[in-house]
Amino acid sequence: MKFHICLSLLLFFNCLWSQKIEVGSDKSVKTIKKAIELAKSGDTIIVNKGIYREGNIIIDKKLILQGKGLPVLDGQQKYEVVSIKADSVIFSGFKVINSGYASLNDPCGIKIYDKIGVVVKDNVLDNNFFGIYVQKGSNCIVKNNTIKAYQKEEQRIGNGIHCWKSDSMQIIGNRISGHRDGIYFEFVSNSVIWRNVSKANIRYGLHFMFSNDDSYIGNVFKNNGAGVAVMFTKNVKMFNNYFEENWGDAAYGLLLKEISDSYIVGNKFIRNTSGIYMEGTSRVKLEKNIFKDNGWGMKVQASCMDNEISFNNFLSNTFDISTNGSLVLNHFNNNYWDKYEGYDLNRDGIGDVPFHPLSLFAVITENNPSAMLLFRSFMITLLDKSEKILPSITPDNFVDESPEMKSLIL
Amino acid sequence: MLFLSGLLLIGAVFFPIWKIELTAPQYPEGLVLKLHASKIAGDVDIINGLNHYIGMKTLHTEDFIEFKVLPFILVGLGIVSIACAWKSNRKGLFVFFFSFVLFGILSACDFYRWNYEYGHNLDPNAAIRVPGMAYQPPMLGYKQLLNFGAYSIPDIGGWMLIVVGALLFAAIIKEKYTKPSGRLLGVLLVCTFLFSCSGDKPVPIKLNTDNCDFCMMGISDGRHGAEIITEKGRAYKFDDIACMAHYCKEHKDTKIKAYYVHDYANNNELIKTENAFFVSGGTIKSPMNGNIAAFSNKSEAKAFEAESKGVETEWTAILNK
Repeated sequence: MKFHICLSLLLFFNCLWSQKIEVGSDKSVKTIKKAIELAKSGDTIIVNKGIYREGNIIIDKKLILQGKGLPVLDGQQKYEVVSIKADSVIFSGFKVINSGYASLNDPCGIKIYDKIGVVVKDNVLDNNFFGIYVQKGSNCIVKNNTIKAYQKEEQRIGNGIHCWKSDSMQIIGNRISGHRDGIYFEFVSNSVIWRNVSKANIRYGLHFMFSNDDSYIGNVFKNNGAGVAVMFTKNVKMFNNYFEENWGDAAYGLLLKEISDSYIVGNKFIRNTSGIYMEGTSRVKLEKNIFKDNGWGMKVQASCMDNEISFNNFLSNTFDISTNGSLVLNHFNNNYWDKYEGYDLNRDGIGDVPFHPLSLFAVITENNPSAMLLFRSFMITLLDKSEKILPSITPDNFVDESPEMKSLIL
Repeated sequence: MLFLSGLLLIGAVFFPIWKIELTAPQYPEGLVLKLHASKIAGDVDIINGLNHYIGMKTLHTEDFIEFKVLPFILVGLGIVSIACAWKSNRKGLFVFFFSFVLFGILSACDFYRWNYEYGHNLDPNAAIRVPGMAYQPPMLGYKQLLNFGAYSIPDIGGWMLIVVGALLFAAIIKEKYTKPSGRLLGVLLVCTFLFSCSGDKPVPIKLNTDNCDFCMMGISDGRHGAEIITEKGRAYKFDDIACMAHYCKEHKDTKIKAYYVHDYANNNELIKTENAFFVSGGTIKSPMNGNIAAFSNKSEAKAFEAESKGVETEWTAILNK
């Protein structure tokens, strides 16, 4: 209680010392640049509705910038619109549009340079080359922003939220579309990406490389060129995300390449060419996920080992699993496979006959994609059936010893 | 389609179906055996002369019962095919297709049997004897026999028969699905042929559709990408010059005809590495941290080197990094 009183007093006095500066066409201070110049560290700048064309706005003091009625900051396709070069800046309620385009220094809507504790929230970013770019930031929060771009396929375009060599970031509740990668992490650690919606981006909904110890929770990745790419990373936690509608020749919901010691739990992979494509992946637990209506539920390449795939639902995928190898070092347990035709005489809810999820045809097409022509032909069905009974071509250790009889409630 | 395949079947009688080509230093033009439906043609006499030295039986058309029967079978099949086209019933089509495939398999077996017999049944009193050596020509493809290289490939008639098979298959597909038209299939076939033997021109990289063959990422930047063309004419595309180097390291046995890299100054334009100038490091940032930029023009490279504080790099150094 005492502590609370002290804190509120402190805040109260702090308010007394810090001042508010109003910016607007009908105010004494007409430009944001002028306001920043006038302000002292800790001040608040309120920007009223209007269009501000001030080139590159540099925030180099610890300030709070607040938009009132969504004022527009226009970069006229020439400038980086907002550059944050001070710790603990709070920037909220602006519409940032038309940053410069495609030059060597990657111009952005909002860029944070090597700073701590910056908050960028409740903004609208429209038609920028990069949306929000964090370079060597730490403890920054990027929250509830709407980030849009409208690039044609061929032209170069940057990422929606781009973090590079940063730590302890929080990316929460943003909506991103039309960029190259919706969210991009490179060398970012101890961070969380939570409740974002990344749709209709040209390449990936989320893309991260060399980014250890991060969590991705409750995001939606839909309709991107390919869903999410995760590479060269340890200790990733992906919980309760949606990977949907990533169709295309080489598209996938989730690409795992060189990943280890990670958890992929409670996600939904729905209507993708491949739900998960994994290569060089080891010691990953895949649990309680739903794979539904995909071309391939999972493509497990030969270089994957010691992954535990259990308690997942595989529902109405063309192929549940495929692989290009013969030796299988992964464990499948207690999954529900809708293609399972076994029985359960002892009524313990586990099928009495092990299930071989790898269909012969999946193996054949992995090696000869053009064999897909023969799909659903009588001969192939016959081969598949006989292979199920007497596995000869498919690896016989590729097996779920305890298939669930009923689909799991997830 | 069936009508066409009938004509082709009958036509196949008049052309050589299979040929075995022998190449050796002493015959720079090569020797060729042409197997027709009804006879053996080509340089039979010379080959028989050679065969005599190593104790192989000599080849005579009249030794083979097949040459009496085969033309009739082909013509018969052709007539059946045309009849099928008239009648156009599904069952007939299937039966015909399978009988044709069966005929193909039988002929192949028979051909193999003859090859085997001729290759292994050697006169022990021959002038040249190589212990353990058999002279069985390959059924399909290439084989080295002493100083001769033997190629065994279908000839005009054989290709005709293969086309017949494809046509029938297409007809069946069409019957079953009525979706991919025969013409489309034909186009596809031709396309695959064309694709499989393209020259060493670079295949343009389709940004945002093609994936890197090393790191699987979509290629979206037309400034840092690269491509190799193998001896076999396959193209592998990369989003980063470093990915190309890594790929080559992992696939040392792949014979590579040409290396290409994106010209940094011209979006998505591929240039040969021999003519490129490389700058690496500094502030250059490429998709997979190779951080290399290539230029077709030396002065541009120099200018960029100063701008990015990078260093000039040799292609060989990049490849062997």
